[in-house]
Amino acid sequence: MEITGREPIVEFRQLGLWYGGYQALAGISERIHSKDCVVICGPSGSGKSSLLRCVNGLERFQEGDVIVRGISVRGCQDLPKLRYHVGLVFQRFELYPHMTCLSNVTLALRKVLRLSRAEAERRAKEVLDRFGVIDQADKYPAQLSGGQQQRIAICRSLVLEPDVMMFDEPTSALDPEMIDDVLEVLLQLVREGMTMLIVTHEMQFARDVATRIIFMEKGRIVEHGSKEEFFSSTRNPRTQAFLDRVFKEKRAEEAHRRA
Amino acid sequence: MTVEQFFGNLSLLALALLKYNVTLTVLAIILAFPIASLLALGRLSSHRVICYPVAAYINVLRSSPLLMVLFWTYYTFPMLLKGGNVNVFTAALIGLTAFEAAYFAEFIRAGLQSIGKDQQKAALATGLRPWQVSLYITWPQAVRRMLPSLLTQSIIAFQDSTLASVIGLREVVQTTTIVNAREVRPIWLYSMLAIFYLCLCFSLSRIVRRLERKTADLLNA
Repeated sequence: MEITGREPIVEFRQLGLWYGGYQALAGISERIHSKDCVVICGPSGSGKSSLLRCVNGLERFQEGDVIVRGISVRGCQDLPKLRYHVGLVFQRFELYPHMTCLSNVTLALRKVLRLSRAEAERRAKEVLDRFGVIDQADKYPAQLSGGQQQRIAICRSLVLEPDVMMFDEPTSALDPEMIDDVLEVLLQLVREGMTMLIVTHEMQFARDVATRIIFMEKGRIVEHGSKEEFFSSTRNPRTQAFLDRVFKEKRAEEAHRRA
Repeated sequence: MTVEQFFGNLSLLALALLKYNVTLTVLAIILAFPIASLLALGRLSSHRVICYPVAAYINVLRSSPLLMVLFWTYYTFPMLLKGGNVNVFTAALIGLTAFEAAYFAEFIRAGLQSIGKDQQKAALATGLRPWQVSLYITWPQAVRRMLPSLLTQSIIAFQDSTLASVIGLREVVQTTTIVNAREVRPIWLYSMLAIFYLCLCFSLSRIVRRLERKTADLLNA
């Protein structure tokens, strides 16, 4: 499918998700275009992770629709075929512990794209090298630091050449020293023109890298807009309260680290 | 007991052991594992029509003594179904298989459930189909985790195979009793039996422990 750059790569249309009687997402409507870097933020339980998982059909939503590359997720009969075009990176990396890092990255290339082992390894090594983890290729995930594991996890999704990469709090499970490693990778991806959807608490990163910011609370989008609009002139008091709290926490953390 | 008699009896016991106990146990395990895998998957199924009957089977067989199960397969069921007798070995095999399958099913279920859901979701997110996730991600890890329990249970099954003596199978315990009826040397004979089993089971346990250590290393790299 041709992406002309004018059609959104991901579009949410009045998306609604219920877990039993609990409404996790309500009336989500949003458009994400090619090369957008959209940061989704908000308090815990606001539905940010669920939103990402609706995009690739890991969560089966009940209302509305998500259109990915022009294909409706709701009506999609063959979800696995759609899924590898949307990369998803998890908070806890979720690498396969019984396989080497190289195998982690080549598994989908061999079993989904049906590449030969040699071709799969060639592509995988290329991506691993790009993100500085080529030396870890033959090691097992348990032998790696958190930052390295997350980079392998990013490679695992990236090697399938997705149209959009989604990140579910990619740095929340990392020690502070390793957060920058991973943020650098995200920065590199943005510079390379990848469309990104990032759920994160790293508001400083959002300030630097995002093109649009979405603030969610209790399953709804409370505020959204370009980065400039969001940080300079937010009118919504809840968003302001959230930002204040996050920046205060960050300042306290920095002070503590310096001390 | 003369040396001749000793070795004569020893070979008699060894023969019975190999012909019946070992064969019975090995066949039962080979049959029980695939049946137990299906049971485990059924137990995990979200369809009530499947998981309730399977759970019932597992619970009933795990709550019943093997001796009783053997009586069922040798006396009760043949009478109800065929109105006649079955071959003792067949009855023993069916009974032991059905019994061990219930225990194996729980170990397999525990192994499968111990694999993190998010890891499986990550695999699905890369475009793998559910059966591929099972084959490449879930089962390889689950089998390594359930192996110690399954092997230990297999050793217990080997010991339990002696219960078939009660329904008349000429396995090692029954053979010892028969020889004893002839020679009346219970201490000698039953001690030989005990030492046989002790050596065998002890060696098997050690092999299992070594295997445990090797697979634990593999999983934790």
